Amino acid sequence: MQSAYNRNLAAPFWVQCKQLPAGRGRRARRRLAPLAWLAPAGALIGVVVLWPIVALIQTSMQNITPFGITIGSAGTKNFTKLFHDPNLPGILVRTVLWVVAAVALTMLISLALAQLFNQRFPGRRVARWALIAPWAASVMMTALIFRWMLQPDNGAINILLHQLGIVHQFDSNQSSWLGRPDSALAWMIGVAVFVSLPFTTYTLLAGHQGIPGELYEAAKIDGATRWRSYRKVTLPLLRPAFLVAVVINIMNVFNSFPIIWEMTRGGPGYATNTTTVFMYNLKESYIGEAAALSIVNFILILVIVLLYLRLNNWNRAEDR
Amino acid sequence: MAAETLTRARPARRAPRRLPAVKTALIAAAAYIIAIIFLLPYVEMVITALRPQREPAKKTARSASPRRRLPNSTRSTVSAR
Repeated sequence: MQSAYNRNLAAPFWVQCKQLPAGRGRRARRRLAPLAWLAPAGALIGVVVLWPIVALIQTSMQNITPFGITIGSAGTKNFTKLFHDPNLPGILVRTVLWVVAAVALTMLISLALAQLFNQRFPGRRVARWALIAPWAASVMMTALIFRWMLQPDNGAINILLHQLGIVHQFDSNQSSWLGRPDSALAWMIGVAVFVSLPFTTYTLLAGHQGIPGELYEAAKIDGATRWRSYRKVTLPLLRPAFLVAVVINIMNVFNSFPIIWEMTRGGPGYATNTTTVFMYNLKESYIGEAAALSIVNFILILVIVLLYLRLNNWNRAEDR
Repeated sequence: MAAETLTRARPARRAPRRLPAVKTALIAAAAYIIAIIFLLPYVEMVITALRPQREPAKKTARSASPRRRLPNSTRSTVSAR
């Protein structure tokens, strides 16, 4: 019988298992058996997640020409150049503003919408379907529609605002909402909220469905007002759904590219760039720097999400 | 005896919770308005797609009123600038 120590270590693990002595072999086989089931998922994660990350890190440390030809290692030069870019501080501030404003507004409106659509009324199902529209439609398409509607000369929103007396003249600075950085960012945040609302509202709606009606009855018997029972019963029980909605929304909004790209191309200048759009702009000429920024983006989103989860004691329920 | 009575007792019928009619109507109206707001951009897209190709690109004169969206608007379109 072959010893466990002189077996062929270069052979695959199942061959090695066969070579082991009977008792130990059975135990080792039992221990290694899950690997066979985990292998496809592991391989998929390796190819789809890990390999691109490794390739990204590699790219960020290479000197690549705008034509895509690698001309040697750049070390940390791409990162140094990126952090010395005069546009970066403004872009980082704008990204934070973009994420915080869009997510906060989305969650506030979603809470109200979920409460409203949780009530019983005739035609509730149809109204709920209508709410899905921005989710079902492509984000690029929705952003394009809003760009059309904001056309300074004949956009539907401008025409409506003109009829209401808010916009006085067409094709002017006033009606060019996407031509001014401040108003462009505000409209883009509006579109981001519009496309994010269906998901967050439905998540909260699902959370609402999970709250037993008896709790409201008990609160009513205890003399709680509607507002108090909302604060003390609904909100705490919506917390898990709320957290999930916020985290997914933060990631979506942070990484959102089509809204900004379709509405302003990040312009005028870099005035409406977020880190994601800036990364795309950099890619045109500085591939290494773009890769460096994508790593910074990845770290940033990880930090934001972990910070948010930490602040909200994500594991509070499990700790008890 | 008491236990028997309890087991025999009919389960109390829960009255279906119904909101007052006015309140339901208000909630329904609010929900429909929101639903319409969510659909409007896509309706605009369909309308634009159905227009003759020249029309959507047609520029509105700087001082002239564009095609009307709201009825009975008598607001002046003269520039306030």
